[in-house]
Amino acid sequence: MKFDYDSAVARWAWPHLQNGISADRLVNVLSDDCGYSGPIARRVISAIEAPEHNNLDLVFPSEPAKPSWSPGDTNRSVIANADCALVFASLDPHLELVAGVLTAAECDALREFTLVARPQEPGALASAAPMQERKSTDPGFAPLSDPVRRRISHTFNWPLAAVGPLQLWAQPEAIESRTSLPAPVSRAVLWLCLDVVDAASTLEVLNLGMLVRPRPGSGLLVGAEPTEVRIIPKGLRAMASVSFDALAKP
Amino acid sequence: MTPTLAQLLETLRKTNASAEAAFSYLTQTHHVDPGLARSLAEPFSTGVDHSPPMTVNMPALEQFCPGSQVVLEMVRPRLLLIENFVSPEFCDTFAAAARDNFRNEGSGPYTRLYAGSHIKKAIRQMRFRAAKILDRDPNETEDTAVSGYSPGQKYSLHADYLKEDDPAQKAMLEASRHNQRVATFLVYLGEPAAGGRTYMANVGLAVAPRRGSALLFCYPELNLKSATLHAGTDVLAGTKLITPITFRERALYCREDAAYINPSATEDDL
Repeated sequence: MKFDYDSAVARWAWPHLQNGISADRLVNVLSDDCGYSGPIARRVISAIEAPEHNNLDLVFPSEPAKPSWSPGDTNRSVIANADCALVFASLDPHLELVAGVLTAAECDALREFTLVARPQEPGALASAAPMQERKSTDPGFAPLSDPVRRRISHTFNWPLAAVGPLQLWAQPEAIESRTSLPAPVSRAVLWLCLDVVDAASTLEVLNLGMLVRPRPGSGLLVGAEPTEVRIIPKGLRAMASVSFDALAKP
Repeated sequence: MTPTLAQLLETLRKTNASAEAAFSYLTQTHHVDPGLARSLAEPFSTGVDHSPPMTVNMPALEQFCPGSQVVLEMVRPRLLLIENFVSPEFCDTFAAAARDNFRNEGSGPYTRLYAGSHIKKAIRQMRFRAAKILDRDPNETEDTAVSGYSPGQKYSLHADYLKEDDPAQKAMLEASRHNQRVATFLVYLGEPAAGGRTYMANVGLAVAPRRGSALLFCYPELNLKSATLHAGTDVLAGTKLITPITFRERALYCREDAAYINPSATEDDL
């Protein structure tokens, strides 16, 4: 993508103008301290100086560009589940809430698998712990996981080899520390809601002061760049996650 | 248990904290990211009422919008996204009417749906319902229309509050005794196959126009700090049908006005 210098300057200047720094001062900083052409700096600053009357598209592009490395928008043509659709997207931090990633039947099966403890299995869920990661050693896991991973690969236009294993979480209240993704290995993580939610069931996105209440089967895609995202799940009994890795990037 | 941001802001509001004190409290006591804390603390210096002017009455939401859900809630700007605000059958009313009854109104980047009697009733029902779930008087909502956007059509970046330096908007303000707009409630009635997102520019948030959903955003500050600059991005395929319901500070209509809605009525009576 061609770097748009005017837009970058406008985005830099915009908060300073809002905070009362004069346009002349900003032009001087650009031309004297940054080596930016004086007439061009003047033109850009003038364009946003009176934003109610000028072209704010320079500061805020009307259609946000998607980073080239990002998993793509939902690809409705290749999935059987026609209800799969983008609900909202945020560019920075990079978030996408996608409805209908899992079918209701898949949700039920994965939730049951997550919540029902199987004592014979190493790593089985312990009720005392606030969060437990479900181990994938159970022979019943692969038939549940494989089709879901394939569909996620199609839905988000990301190669299957780079879609990490499906991880299951019970009572995922203390998951925040795990969302510091080790970029560039993990490009994004998709958090899948398996539980019926109510007003008290949320994913809190701290960076944006945002509460998300995903329906069962919805996925919140969280990018590792450009800004790290901190998310706290609350009031959800069961979630699943997969990572989108960069190692097999297309 | 770690308090939520909403709880922290509520605490700050109760103490009438200054912006500096709010920033310090958020970053030092609760380790909130400094960039976010700066943004959240900023309104505390302005002296405006920065408490959220509208919150969802959950029992009313369940009563009027069965199967609905608030899927997204933001602190700044104050923003709510509600799925299934109206049913698919309700949306079908507009889709059927839109096939024959759209007409150009000249200056806008969109077409307006001809308001036949059943459309007028449906619009009144949406105004009534939006007000009820937000605990407001339906007469605080402006009478409105349904707009259609075809491929290539968009609505450029703008804010919805009425501006004194715009002659037409100033006239609207004066005619209503300076009864200013305070919030916008966009109802998505027809979903395009691609494009047509509502882009909240200040926070880089793009909301997909999903059929039956509604997006509320409030602007208690009548300037760009309200962070509610928004645009309707290009429709790429299909048609987007949308009704913007705009709330004023106080009731705009009285019993003598055609747009008046009896707050005690039921939806069927409208």
